[in-house]
Amino acid sequence: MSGLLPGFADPVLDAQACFRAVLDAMSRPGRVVRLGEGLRPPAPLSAAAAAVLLTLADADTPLWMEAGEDAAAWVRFHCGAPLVAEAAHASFVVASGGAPSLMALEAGSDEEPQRGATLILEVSALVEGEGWRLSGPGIAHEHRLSVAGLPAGFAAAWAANRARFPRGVDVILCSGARLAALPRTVAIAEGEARSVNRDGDNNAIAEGEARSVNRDGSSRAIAEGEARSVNRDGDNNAIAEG
Amino acid sequence: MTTSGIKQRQRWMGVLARASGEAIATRLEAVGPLPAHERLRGPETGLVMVRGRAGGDGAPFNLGEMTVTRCAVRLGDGVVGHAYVAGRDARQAELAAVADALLQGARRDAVMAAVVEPLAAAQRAADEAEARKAAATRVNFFTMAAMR
Repeated sequence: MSGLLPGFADPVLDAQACFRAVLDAMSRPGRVVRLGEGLRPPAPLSAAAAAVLLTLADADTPLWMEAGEDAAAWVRFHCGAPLVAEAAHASFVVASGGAPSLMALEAGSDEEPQRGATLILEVSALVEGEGWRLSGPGIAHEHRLSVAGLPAGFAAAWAANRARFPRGVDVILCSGARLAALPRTVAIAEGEARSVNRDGDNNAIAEGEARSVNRDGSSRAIAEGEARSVNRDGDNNAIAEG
Repeated sequence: MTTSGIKQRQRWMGVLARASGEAIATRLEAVGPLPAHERLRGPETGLVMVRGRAGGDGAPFNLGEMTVTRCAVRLGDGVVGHAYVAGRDARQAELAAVADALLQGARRDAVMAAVVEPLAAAQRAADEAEARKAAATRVNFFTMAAMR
């Protein structure tokens, strides 16, 4: 054992930021969010999956994972989540390519659909603007997401999972510090880039998103500006006192 | 860890938990420069429920909650030290965790001699002084059954 690794630097604020990111990802299915940057989880866990566990898993959420002893010790220490031997009894399942079947996981009941498990799936890449056509609640028309490194037959298993709504399993896809969510309501259609026009449209959408990111950046700049003005007040006070 | 190893660690963790942050810091300085450490968790303050039991066969009950500060640190060589101390002294918890990590490593004998043993001796002396003060006020009750 290489010794435990640290979790969040600031447990409260980092967990709040991650919760917000996961909430955004869940409410806009297929949208890629970034989280867990700066986190150093034990080897097989990605930063995003580790951040999700630190944020959501605790002593009340049985966890199933196949990431090895170091990761298990890390999760036990930082989350206190009980590790279970059967994926069917877990609230959170962390898996990569050899994931258990969606239909084998806890799906909740018609009275208590919130008991359905969440599958945290490690994938090799998440790219927006190509691949799957996603539609459903939270998506205005359609959203495109390409996922590399999924278990075989995932799309078919997803159709079966979606058919049993309100029961079902929610999936969180993690790749490095990037994360996208597939709540059980989302419909996945296999889409291939056929016409050049559509590609052009997709690029436009991607640019729009880039602009919105910039907008966030500028709002942060405004916040900093306010902080500076507070400082200036402080200076004034100092002068007045002088 | 062997049973005797666990016993020894329980002893030094107990001694460190009863010592003040100041005392641990002073003693640790004598050992030499402290290795760099990073915080795995805390120091953070919370409550633990203390459970009691009336007599050997009584049902357990909740005696009350107690303020506890805990800390876990990791030294550069990967050794992890833990500390749980009563009260809200974050510095004590962190230093006790560092000392716990050092005591599991190669510098164990030096830290044992410079930190744990003097602290244990001071605590023993304080306990004995307290016991002597209490003993001076002791009253022996007896029945004078033999007197007629």
